[in-house]
Amino acid sequence: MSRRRLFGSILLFIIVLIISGVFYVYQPHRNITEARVDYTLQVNELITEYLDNTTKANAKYLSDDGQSKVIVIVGVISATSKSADGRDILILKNKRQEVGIQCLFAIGEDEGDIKIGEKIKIKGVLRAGPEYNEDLEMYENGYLEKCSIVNI
Amino acid sequence: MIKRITVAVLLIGGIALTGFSQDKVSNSGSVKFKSLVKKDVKAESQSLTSKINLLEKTLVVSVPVQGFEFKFGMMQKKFNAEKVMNSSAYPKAKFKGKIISDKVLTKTGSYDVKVKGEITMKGITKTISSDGKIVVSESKVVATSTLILHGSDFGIDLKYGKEIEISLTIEY
Repeated sequence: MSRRRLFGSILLFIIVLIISGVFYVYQPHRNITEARVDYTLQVNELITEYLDNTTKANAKYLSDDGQSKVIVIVGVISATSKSADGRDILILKNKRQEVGIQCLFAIGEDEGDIKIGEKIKIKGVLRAGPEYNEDLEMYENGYLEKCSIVNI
Repeated sequence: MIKRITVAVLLIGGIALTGFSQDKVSNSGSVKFKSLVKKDVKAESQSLTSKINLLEKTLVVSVPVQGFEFKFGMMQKKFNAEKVMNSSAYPKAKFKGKIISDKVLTKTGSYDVKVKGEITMKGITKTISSDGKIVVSESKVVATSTLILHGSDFGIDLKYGKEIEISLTIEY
């Protein structure tokens, strides 16, 4: 191998290394609306899994690197509110349940024309599961973020 | 007659009890943090649940750790990792404390207060105190506070985590 060729290969290797390094450091966030769905389930199924065994549910749905499971959840809208930055929040909860899942919509997505009591299908990433919070002295909803509505 | 008295006592008791239950629960607010070592290491969460009681002067805040969003994905991965926040095992950061003020906070007004209580992250609880502000209007209550945390108190051995400023704004 000529010296020039060797130099060329090393240079190419370094360039590739730098480019992949930059991509690694500045990698964008996952686009949850477009991401592959890991689980599709009813809101009460997710709640039961969490209330039965939180540790097991955390291991199933939450990832060490924060890139937790993308889920599609089906449930009844029990309340609506707004986040501090003006995004829609929907709370999915069955009438008989004390706790629900609160869904914070992704930037650019909104709840559209919805009614309380209506059944809806929402896609999002799970940030934390529902649980009884002893400090709050009440049940705390599970948190689904970067949500978008999926057509039923 | 006895029946009537019983009903009256129950009624008055009931009114008194509802009067004392002044819990306000909110899921609208933001928690921001930034490293004081490196200013562009910052993140924000728009998901939380909080309960305030202006009569008893208590405040509780619970935030899902994975809800903190950084500018880039890599920072977020590092933040959630076992060595830093270990968020898959400890998905919530919590604060529970008292609002210190000699004023009557239930009336409309703006109050400079102290907030003192316990913060729990990664299963480790530390006592903290800081300044805060509570603005009470006819339609809502807004609570704000800024506090400084040290990563080493929570077993976080990271240069950027040495000193972290946390700002909280919650609307009830």
